[in-house]
Amino acid sequence: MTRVTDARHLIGLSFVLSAYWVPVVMGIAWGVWLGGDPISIGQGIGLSVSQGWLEFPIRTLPLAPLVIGGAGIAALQLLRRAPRPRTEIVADKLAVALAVPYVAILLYAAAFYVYFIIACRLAPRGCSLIL
Amino acid sequence: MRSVLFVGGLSFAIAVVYVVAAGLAPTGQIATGPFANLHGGLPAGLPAYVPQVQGSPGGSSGEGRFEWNAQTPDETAKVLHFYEQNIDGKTWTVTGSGDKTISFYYRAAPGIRGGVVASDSGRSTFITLWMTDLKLPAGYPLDFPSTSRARPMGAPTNVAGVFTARWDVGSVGAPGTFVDDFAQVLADSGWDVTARTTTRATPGLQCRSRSSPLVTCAVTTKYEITKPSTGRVVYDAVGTFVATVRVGQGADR
Repeated sequence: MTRVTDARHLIGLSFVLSAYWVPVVMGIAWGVWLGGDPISIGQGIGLSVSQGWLEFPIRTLPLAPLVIGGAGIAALQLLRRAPRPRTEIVADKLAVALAVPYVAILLYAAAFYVYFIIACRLAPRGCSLIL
Repeated sequence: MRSVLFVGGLSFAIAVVYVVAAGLAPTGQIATGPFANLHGGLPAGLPAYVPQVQGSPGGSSGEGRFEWNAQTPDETAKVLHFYEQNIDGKTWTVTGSGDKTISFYYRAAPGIRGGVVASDSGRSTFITLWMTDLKLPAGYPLDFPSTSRARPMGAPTNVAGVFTARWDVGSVGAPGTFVDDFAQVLADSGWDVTARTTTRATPGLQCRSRSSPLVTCAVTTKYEITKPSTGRVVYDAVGTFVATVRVGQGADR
């Protein structure tokens, strides 16, 4: 019987990958809602993926702990010297490689938000970001 | 292979659960009738106008609504004449046509109202072709039009033959503009606008049917905050202009 710890590398990679599935799943949902035929679903996915990247970090923020956690554990395992099966090493490397651009996008959005708050605090009359 | 299936399946399942839980998927009914399977085109029976200015905006759809925009070098009258001649009468019933607008409803479900707006912008004409499922009850006057800005808020009520509907007319643009636009649509659709106020905090109008003078309408608008701001640096209050539309015998009293 396979234990959860045996599949740790696969679960970690799944956590990281789940964020990238979000625009696709949203597109499928919109395609089904728009009629459900294959053309509508295909167009829904195309639109969601192309537009979703603009809002990617905000849309997937609640998944960030999963992504960072999964990638962090994978990175720690990669730093260990102990010999491991090739599948585990590939999975951990993939998890880290997929998490790096995601975290970079998150940091960019966070930097913008922090800059905005500081600028508002320093502005003589304050300011607001209207969403 | 098993590992790939495991990773693909688990990550996809997490994304599905997250999208559903976070409300990122549409929550309304699956599109049917004229809203379904459009594939970027227009609903059956509603033709696109040609010629268009290059780069015209195209179409978009949401829950229970559809809108298509285009720009043409042709005159307003020519555009409206085209639609009067070419809207498919088997699918749509045209209820009014005038200087700037055409109004119609979907024959299979009269609660779906639509129209064509042709706006002269100097060198060209801007066309808006729209339809919205206003979720109107049986007995609601078939010839009472709507506008592209209106989205239904709840189900209309019917008290002694006077129907009262609430429409979300958007958070952008002054409510006076909505009243002016709706007054034009009403005039084009066989309704006389008997009173109009666009300057106060609650713009509105009153109207009377030309074909059935006992049937009148009263429209008032006001801004409503639907979600107050949390008071932090980001002003995140959500509000919209709401039009209360009464139509029926004595609705303007």
